[in-house]
Amino acid sequence: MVTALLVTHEGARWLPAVLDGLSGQTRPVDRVLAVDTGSTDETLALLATSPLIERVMELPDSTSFGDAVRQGLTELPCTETDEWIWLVHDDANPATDALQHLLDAADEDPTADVLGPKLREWPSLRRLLELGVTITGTGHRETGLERGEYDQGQHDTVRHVLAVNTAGMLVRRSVLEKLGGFDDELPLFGNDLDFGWRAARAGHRTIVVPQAVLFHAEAAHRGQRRTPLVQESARAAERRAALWTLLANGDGRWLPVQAVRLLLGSMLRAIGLLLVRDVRSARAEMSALASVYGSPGRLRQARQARQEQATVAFKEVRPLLAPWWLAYRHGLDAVANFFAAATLQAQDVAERRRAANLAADVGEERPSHRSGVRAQGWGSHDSRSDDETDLAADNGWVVQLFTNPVALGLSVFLIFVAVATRDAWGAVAGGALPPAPAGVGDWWRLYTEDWHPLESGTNVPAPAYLPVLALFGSLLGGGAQAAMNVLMVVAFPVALWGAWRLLRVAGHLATPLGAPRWLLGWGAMVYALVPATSGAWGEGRYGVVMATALLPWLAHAALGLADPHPDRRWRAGWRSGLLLALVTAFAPVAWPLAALLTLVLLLVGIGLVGPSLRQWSVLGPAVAALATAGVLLLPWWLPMIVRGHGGGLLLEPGLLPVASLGGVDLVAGRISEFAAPFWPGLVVVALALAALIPASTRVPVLVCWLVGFVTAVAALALSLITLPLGGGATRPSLALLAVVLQGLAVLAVVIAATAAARELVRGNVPRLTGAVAGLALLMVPVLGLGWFATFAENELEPTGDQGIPAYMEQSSDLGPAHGIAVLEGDLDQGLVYTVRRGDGPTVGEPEIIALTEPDDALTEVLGDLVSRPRPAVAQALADRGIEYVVLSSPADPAVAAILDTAPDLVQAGTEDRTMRAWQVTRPLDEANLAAATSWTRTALLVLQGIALLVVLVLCAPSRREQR
Amino acid sequence: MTNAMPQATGHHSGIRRISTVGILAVLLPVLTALALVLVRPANVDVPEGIAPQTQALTRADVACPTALDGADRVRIASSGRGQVTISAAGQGAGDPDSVPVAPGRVRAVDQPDPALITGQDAAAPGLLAVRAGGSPVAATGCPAPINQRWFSALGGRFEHSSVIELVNPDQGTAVADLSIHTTNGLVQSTELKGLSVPGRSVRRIDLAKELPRTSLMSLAVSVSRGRLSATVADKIVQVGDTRPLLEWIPAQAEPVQQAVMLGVVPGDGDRTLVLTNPGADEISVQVEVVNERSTFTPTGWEEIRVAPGAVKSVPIAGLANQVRRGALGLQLTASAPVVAGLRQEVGGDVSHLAPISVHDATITTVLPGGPARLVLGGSRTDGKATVIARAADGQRVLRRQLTVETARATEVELPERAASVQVQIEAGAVGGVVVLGGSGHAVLPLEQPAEQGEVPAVRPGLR
Repeated sequence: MVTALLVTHEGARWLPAVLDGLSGQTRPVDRVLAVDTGSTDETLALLATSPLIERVMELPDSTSFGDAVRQGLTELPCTETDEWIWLVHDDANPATDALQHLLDAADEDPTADVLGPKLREWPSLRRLLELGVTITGTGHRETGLERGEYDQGQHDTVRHVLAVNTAGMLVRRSVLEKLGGFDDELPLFGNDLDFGWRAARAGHRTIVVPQAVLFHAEAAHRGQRRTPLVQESARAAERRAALWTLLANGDGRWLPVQAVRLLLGSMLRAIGLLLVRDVRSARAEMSALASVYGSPGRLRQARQARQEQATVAFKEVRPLLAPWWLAYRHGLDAVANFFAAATLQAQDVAERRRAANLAADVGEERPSHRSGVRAQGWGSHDSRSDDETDLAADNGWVVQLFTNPVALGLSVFLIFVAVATRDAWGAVAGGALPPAPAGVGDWWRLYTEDWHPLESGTNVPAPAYLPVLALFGSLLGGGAQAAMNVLMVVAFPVALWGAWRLLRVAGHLATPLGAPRWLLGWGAMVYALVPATSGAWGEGRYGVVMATALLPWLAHAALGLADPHPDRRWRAGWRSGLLLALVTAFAPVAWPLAALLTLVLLLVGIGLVGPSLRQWSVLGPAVAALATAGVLLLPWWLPMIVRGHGGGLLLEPGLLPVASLGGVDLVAGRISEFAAPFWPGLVVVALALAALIPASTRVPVLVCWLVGFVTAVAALALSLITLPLGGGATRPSLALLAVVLQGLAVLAVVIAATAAARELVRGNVPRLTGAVAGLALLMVPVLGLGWFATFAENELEPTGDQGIPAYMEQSSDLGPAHGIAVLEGDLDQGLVYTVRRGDGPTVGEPEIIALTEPDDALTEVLGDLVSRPRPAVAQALADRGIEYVVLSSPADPAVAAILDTAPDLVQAGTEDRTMRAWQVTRPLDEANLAAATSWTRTALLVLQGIALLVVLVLCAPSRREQR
Repeated sequence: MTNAMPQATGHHSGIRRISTVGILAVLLPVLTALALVLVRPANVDVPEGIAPQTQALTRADVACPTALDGADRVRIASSGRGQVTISAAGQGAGDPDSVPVAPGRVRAVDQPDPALITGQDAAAPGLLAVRAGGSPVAATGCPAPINQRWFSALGGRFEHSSVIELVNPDQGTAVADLSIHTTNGLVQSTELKGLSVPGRSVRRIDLAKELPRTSLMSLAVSVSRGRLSATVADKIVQVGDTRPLLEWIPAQAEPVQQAVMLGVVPGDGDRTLVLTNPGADEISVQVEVVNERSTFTPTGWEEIRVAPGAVKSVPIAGLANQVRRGALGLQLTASAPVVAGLRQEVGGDVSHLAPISVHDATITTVLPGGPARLVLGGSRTDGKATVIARAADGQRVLRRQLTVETARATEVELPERAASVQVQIEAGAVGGVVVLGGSGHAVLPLEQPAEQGEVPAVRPGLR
């Protein structure tokens, strides 16, 4: 005998269909009892009028599901021993043969006490919801199904499972009553899992019968109906149920560990949710945690009750639970999804713009994204372009690699780059690249201290890129040298990837089909080679190299500012701000250039499009990007300006002199003498000029030229500025502008060639023209790559010999007070001095030293030393923390002769006999070079940290509730 | 940047839009190029070199070598007024003595050990010291620390041995490299390289022990580290004579192409011209005689050829005859820079000549007293000079104005009372020596003691 127990609550929306389903069963239900828990809609009326319902029981709306079932059972007298109870929800519609199949299965497997149907989504009817459930170690309800998996019969075997959903559950009345029904602690969610687990411990079998199908709307889970049982959100209730189930049923021996694990895991999830701006979910997570952990007494009682019912050992149930690694795989998937979403954020700005325009034309608002499967749960894109899906096809990667010319080309590029950058694999320095410090600790210290024991002590703030390097080095295990090496090598693939992404979007903006992949590959390679062909890499200009790698990412993010959706524009603004801060850190002229470009492009945009652009959701994100970069770089520029070193805001990282570029260098992208000898930059610019010819893409190409023009004006303006330095003056470095111009040229060429390339491939272009164009295009990356890997020279040399005897280096490692005054020059031309402390000027320090005001007192002391050395001079040197005076090679004997007479200075040995050195024998004063802690610096750093966190949260992709 | 993208620009009429876009397509590249052409490269401006400042000397050091037989006395003069310190170099040296100096006066101190003489501040300018005395007379100027000096006609055997003496006036160790040239060329000896001399001490190198050679040698002392004064004492043991002949060898600052050696002494004996070719090619040297009237090549004097790196000693038998006829010195003209010395073993004494250095300011030396004559020459243009000789108390005992003509030499007898002689050069550039007579002979070159020092400018470097 089968008794159906229909539990309803505000289910009028689904009830008619459910009643139809029940009445239409091929194996009719013997009796149906409806239990309503305080419905206020037409549910009661519907139940009352249904001929199927034998009885309707009305209970208050505070009744839990377990209570409703229990009270329903008491109403129904037990008629026979082999009675089955079929639990049906008001939002769960059984297929007509559902009961038939369930009972058939029960006949086939007489040991089965609990049976469940296959749950499919209602109203879609095709997507699978559940085929039995289990629970992971972190409380995740595990169905074993892919999200949104279609039912194609792929799971249609009867299986032994931990639990089945209460919707459609067929259970022996004896078992239900023996186990005391469902736990009242779990009023709505998760009671099925708990029940299944308890049943399993009590020695009962639960099976899922896929032939029986039930369509379930999951109304409560989706928050489509509210009940007073769920005080907090559905999410909180579900989490609470998960925690309760795990703690109440879990293995007693591991309970403390499990309790701690769940506590930490929940907190971690809450933090993660906060970081993606999902405050509500985070709150639900925490409230669930508080609710379960706040009542240990009830939990103890629940465990005791389960212990009494248990007849089989925990390990018997173990195989029914989800494997331990599954929880972590879910976590990993979530993180991977997040990063996929984060990197793809501005991906189809072109597509969205086109869709928005289309919608505007049609006159209706259309969803910007494709409907259909949205598996990721992240608000960005599953709609990857064809290129990526092509690459991610089912073939093995080796096959992929060798059958895909683009993949092959890019691999060859990376191999060539790896070979070409071999000189930067060890501890190298040279040109603008100073040696790396011993460890990242030095970088952190340099960045956090307000006053540096360099030269005679200086309050010039540390360069802005230091925390980036320090963080990167820390991630690499503390190796500063490793960080520099990796950056100098990895910059190429990063630039390549960024350029590929940017060019793809640009291609889509220009033409609906987008640029062909070989053209993207060409553009990306040409751009990624700019650090090499410009000579920036060869001269160790790591600032330029890094900025080049980051620039296309910034441009890509900035394209998002043109997104039709305000929310995406804002996120693009935050993202652009973050990337602008990064680029500015490595190439300080980036910010003023960005400000100028923003101003000009907004003005031009307003002029062309009209006042519709003059709204806050358009201007705001652009302003936010500039302001974000400003706030993120606060600990760098604020002290710089306040302390009168404003000139440092336009210098470039590394040792002086800055890259010296004239007009021709800027056009041709030649940053140093190590540039490629065949002027590839000029070829690209010539092609960019030719890019103005095709009329169909002339407007986007003109935009590139407009940006180029503004960049050129910025270069002109910057070249008129003179920046005062400690021992001279310089003009700002224009290296980044050369890179920007090259990037724009590549962009213009790709945009213009996008349409032409399709024609070329179709054979609509005369063969000769095609060949010439193809050759011109090919020449740059092929020659550039070949040259870089073979003939390219560079200034990078293994570090080690710093022109200072090894014992002095060891001594100066003892502390900042063991400084070395290095005198260069001769009697006729005068002597210039520098003070070397610690391990010498390492990455991050030259910029500080360059801006440090000369110490006049020290200059005077050294002047006395080389003219009339008295004992007081040696004392003054010791007071200033100078242990050695070095007359660098070739030492002028006339000067050396004076120093030889100096009292309290004794000659020190040098390996190089053309160099001279003396040691100050007076005791050194350590106190003069001891840095004091500064609260303002700490405050600035804290502010920067908070700003970074906020920006990261703001620019993370929006999370959609997974339903 | 894509705000200006074409989506929203479709309102303009087609023709107008194309023309605007066409104009821009030409204008923008031109304007961009124009802006870039005007860009100035970012050269780093580094201040130009700054010339040294000249100021009165604040410290002067001279070092007198160990006394030769009877030449214990050190005579000190200074153009400044103050106290100079004199102390013995080497281990166990006592406290320095302080000696007052004043312009024109000469102070004598007995110090047989190597003596370090230091003048500071006011006493530093013009500090000069001479060690002279003995019978037969021997004399040498006490040299200031040097970078490089050449010495000719050194011996490395029992009959003729030379002792090099390096004195370090400073606290720190100094290092010198000695290069010895023989008739066979440069001697490759690692033992004479990197000789270190501890602070305020003396190092003596006896060539007869360190580098026994039968032929005459030349020596280059170059100081690679610290400061050193270098002198060479020469000892000749004549067969059958119990007393060896002792004299210091004067130094030559650097190899020169034209050298004038003044101070030939009359009498019978051996006169040996020692020429050293420090270069890598063979050179030829023309030897001429200089007298009060002219410079000429005596009949039969052949050009001397010197192999690269080698020393050539040439006995000049005809010189005695020329001295009798009024020769005052020799002039050498070489095809490439040469180091030269003339050893005069005459009249029972030995004396050495080195090429004189010419000066255009006051040159001076201090005399031990006794017969002496001043020989001036080496002038390339006709010059004028005033010779002033003073007694030890500063009293002037001689004042004479002379002209020194090109390719000629001039001789002035000095009063026996003269303790110092000054040659104020009013025009041209002149060098000279004082030939000490009496018992034996010795030749003291005139020097231009440093009055002023150059101080390098110090400035912070671009970092």
